This record gives sequence, structure tokens and C-alpha cells, in this order.
Amino acid sequence: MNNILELKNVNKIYGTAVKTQVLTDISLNFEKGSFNSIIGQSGSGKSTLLNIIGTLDTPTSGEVILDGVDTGTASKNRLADLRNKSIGFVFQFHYLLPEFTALENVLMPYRIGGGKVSKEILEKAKEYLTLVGLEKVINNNATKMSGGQQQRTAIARAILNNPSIILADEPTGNLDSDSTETIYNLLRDINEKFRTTFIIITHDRHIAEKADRIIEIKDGKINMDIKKA
Amino acid sequence: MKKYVEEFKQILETENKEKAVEYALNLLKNKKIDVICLYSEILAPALNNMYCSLSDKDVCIWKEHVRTAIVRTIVECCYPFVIEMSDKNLNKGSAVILCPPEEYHDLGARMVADYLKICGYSAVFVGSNTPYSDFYNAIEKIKPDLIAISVSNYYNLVATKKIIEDLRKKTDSRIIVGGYAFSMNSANVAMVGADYYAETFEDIKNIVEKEASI
Repeated sequence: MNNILELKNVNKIYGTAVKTQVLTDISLNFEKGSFNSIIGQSGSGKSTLLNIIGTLDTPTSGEVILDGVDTGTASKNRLADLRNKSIGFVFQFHYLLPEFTALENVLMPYRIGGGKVSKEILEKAKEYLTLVGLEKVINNNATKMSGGQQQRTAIARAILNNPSIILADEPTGNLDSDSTETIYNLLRDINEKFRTTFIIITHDRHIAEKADRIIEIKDGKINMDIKKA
Repeated sequence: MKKYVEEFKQILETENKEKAVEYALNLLKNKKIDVICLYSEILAPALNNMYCSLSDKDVCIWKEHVRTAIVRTIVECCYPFVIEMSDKNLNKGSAVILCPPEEYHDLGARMVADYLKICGYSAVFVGSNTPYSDFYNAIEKIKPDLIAISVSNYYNLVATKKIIEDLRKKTDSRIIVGGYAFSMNSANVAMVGADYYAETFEDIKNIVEKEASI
């Protein structure tokens, strides 16, 4: 299987006078279409790692090669393009704009990117909202939806550009167990339907144990890297 | 043997507990097979290869639990045969057998406890979901020669690694791991830092022989 993401000896140090090493010599490969979870205690470096993978932060040293692009040497424009086209983000807090409907929120990144919403894109947004089970609340304002529905809207938004990889930071951290199960099933469906690679940071064992691979980060290092089969 | 495997499988599928227990115990009473054979050739495969038809898919877990409970009853009823098979003059040492916290699949571990008893160990089966701190604190008092840890859910390998790391600081006991989490991916064995991996009775026997030679 091809690797969609490679991390080679990634280090992250914050501060100059007082240096804090948050990540130490992280080397990982992620196969295309794989479903991975990252676990670890608070402060272990999980979110920093995810931010570096998502090009929201840069490593102090080491390489990150995403979809064949070395993010360390790519131009700002190339990185922005990579973020828009190759990566989808799902966070614990959905960051939906409250005064807009579910459909408008899903289309928002497309509008911000300067794209005119074509009929095809509109249909695609509706299709994805249907895929996440929100066809009945498509025109509801974000504030009129439950936590689970809001998170599903955020997922529809994340997949609108058909990203090859979705990075999720505690996507079920705010949800009850039933909604967690719904979100997991949804992520798995997307993984199987589109062969989207998933990297999910989670504290929820019910999500982690269902992933095909668990990576445990401890004190900024890989403590365990296990695969189900 | 094939005949017994097939007949037991058919009885288990009907979920007739009385008949299944009677069938398995009669095989032992009539000396058709021994306990090791019953566990490794009939009971374990019956559980591992449990068939669930499409029409039953909504009750598969239910069926799995019912059948596991039947097999558990059989295993508990086998203890007199385990005692009979174990050499009372042998005293290879003590062994504790457990599952890490939140690991609820303990039937494999239960069978391993009997295997170790047959091999001459005084075997204490602690069971599923063993509270970490209680076990950790008790280890100094128990001072076992062997600790066997069974893991089915691969998420529990994370806790297993930590347990083994901590045990190393406290005891010289040799540590065996086994279970579905390892048989599904043998690379996971190296991850937890145990001394041995066991999947079959033969593996246990080899470990016991190796330990005796040290």
C-alpha cells in the first residue's frame, strides 16, 4: 500500500531561551486509506503532532511528506493549496458559524477560497449532508442543531473537497456515547467509501479500539505503535 | 477427533447447555480424549470459529455470549480431570494468570491456567479486568514464578505494556503473553516486552521446559 504521509525524525522545540522539547524524533508512515488513532495523556504532544501533519505548525527539524509534497520546502501558496485540497480538519469544537445554515457552513470554506458555488458544488454539499444523515436539517441554523448534528455538519464540511486525509482532534470529545457511535460509524463509512485516510486524536477508548492502528505518544515520543491485524 | 469436533459444534449451535456439558464430560469420562485435547481441539476452535448466519446478524453478540457461557461451564466442570492429569509430585513453581484492566475476554486465560496446572505449576486464575493497582500491590506478596497475561482487545496492549514495564521494576517473574490481540498480529508481541508468547498448549509446555532448564 502507498504511504500518503511520511514523518521522518520530526522534532519540535518551543522557546529559545528556555527550550521545551514537545516532540522527539518522531518517524511514522501512514498508508493510504488507513484508519489510525493517536492516544496519549494531555500534554504528551498529540495535538502538536497533528498540527504539524496538517501544516498548521512547522517542525523544528525533520521532514513531513504529505501526498508526495515535502512540506518543509514547499512555498506558502503550495502549502495553502495542499491544505485546501488534500487535508480535511475535524476538531472537538465544530467551529460552525452560528448565523448560517448547515448547508451554508458546509459551503463556507469553498466561498472563502474564492470559489463561486456552482450547481455541482451545491449538489455535492447536499449529497454530503445527506451522507452524514442531515438531509432534514440542511436549512437549519447551526444553533438549532444538536451537538452530534453540528459535528456531522463539520464532517460534511471537511469532506467537501474530497481530501485524501482527514485529521481529527478529539472529534467526539464533546459528545455522549450514542452520538460518539454515530460519528465513528460515519467516519468509517467515509473511510471505506472514499478511501480517505484518517488520523484521529482521541481519549475515547471506544473510538481508539476500533481504529486499525493505535499510536501512543508519551512525553513527545512514540511509546507504542500497534496494528489490529 | 473430527467427529467429536463436528458433533460438539452442532450441539453448541443449538445452545443446549445441558447437552453440551454432558457431551464434553462424557468424552473425558470415557477416555475418548483428554482435557488438553478438549480445550485445544474442540472448545477453543468452537469459540474462535463461531458461525453466525446473516439472518442472525442482529443477535450474533448475544449468541457469542450464550455459547461462551456454555463453554465456561464445561471448563469449570473439567477441573477434576485437570487435577487427575497433573502430576502431584511435580512442583515447578507458582503462576498467576490474568487479563489487564477492561479486558473481559478471559476464557482463553482460564484454559491457560489449567494448562499450567497440568504442567506442574500451582496456578492462580485471577480473571478478567484485573484492577491494575490491586494486582501490582499483591505481586510482592504472591511472588509468582510466572505471570501469564491474556489480551483480546488490542487497545488493551497499551495497558499491558505499562503493566509489564512496572512489573519488571518489582519482580523477576517471567512473563508470558497470549490472546487474540497477538494472534491477529504477531508484531504486537515485541511491543509489550514479555519474555514469552504462547498460543497453544505446546507453547506452554515448551516454556515450562525452558524455565526448568534455566
